[in-house]
Amino acid sequence: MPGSAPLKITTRSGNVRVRAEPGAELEVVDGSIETRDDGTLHIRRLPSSSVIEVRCASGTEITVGTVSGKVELLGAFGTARVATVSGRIRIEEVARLDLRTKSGTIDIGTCSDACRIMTKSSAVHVGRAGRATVAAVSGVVHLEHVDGAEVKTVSGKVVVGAGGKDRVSVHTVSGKVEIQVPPATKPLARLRSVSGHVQCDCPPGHDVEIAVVSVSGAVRVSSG
Amino acid sequence: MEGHGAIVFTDIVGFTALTDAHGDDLALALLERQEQMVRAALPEAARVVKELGDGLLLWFDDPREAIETCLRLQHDFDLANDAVDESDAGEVPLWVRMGVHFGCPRRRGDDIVGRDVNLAARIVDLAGPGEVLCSELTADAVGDHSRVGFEPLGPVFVRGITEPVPIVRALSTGETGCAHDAARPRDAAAGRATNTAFP
Repeated sequence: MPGSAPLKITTRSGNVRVRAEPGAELEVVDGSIETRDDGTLHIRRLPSSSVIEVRCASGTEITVGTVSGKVELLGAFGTARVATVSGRIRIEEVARLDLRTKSGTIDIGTCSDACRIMTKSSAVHVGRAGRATVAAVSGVVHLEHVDGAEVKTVSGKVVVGAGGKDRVSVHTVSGKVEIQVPPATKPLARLRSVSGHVQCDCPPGHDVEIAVVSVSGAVRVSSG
Repeated sequence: MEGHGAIVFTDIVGFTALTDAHGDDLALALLERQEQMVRAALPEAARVVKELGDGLLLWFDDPREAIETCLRLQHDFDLANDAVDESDAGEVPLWVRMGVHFGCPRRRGDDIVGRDVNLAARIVDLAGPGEVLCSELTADAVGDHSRVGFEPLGPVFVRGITEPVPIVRALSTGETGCAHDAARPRDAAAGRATNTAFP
């Protein structure tokens, strides 16, 4: 899915809604478009509007920079980069993702390749991802099904559904960690918690490495 | 005027939450660990401008040295954290993020002030643990570099700056970025390297 020219959308406030559809022509509602020398299309919100709505081809590379307001990327995109401060972020499907925000909920449907999320206090939910890298201070991190993951949190709970393909590494200071591997998986589990309860319900093996380090959080690895 | 150079902010990730959960002694230990490692890594033409609440403001005459030092430091922090992971002492890891901007701040005694300093402070807010983010201007000032690449993150709004600022993520060449296809290794002949490009 090659998509159209890369899109860069910037608005200090207001909502951003972009819909990617197979073969769609670029269409922008309530935004101005400028084509830069490098071929990227820069879209900015019109002052009179509270929302930018964009329609583009599936597979389009997209960058969104905003401060507040909801960001919705609906349909299938190529590489997506989103940087905001607050406001809900919902992304249905991307090939690769870099997402940075301080707060507000984050909901990612599918990210087929690398998925990087940096936040301070957002609740993070990722449906499916290749390799997920997530850092948060607080806020629940829920990765439903990932090939591999690297998660760092200070106090947020971490739940990972590991696909069993790639290493899962979780570092937390006080957050509870729950990792589920596919049935019959025999993980190489390296689990450490200085003062929290550690439990692995799976038989030991070398199918996939699960590494969890916590200072005081409880750690549990199970299959299902 | 200080002249042109690189302004670097370091920041301990989750410092307030860590202090709240584990107390002031741990906070003090983290600050000291950070400062010791940073001071030990600084080249001659760089200095600690001042200590901040949970971070440091650094000045580098040379932006290349700034990026090299930051990446090397992140590698050193990783190694130190690995040792913490293996310890039963109940220590917490030191997760540091860094923001860099190439600019020309005004000098006020030993301090530096101005828009460029403010921008560097905002850039670090966007970084995650272990990351070195910088303005595109910094990447341009670094130019071709055999061991450093830059992954664009796009125009970003930061507090106090009217226009969105193009931000990039500095990587040791070969380090896997999210948008690795869009990364800009400054020297394509550099080949594959890893996080350990700055041992």
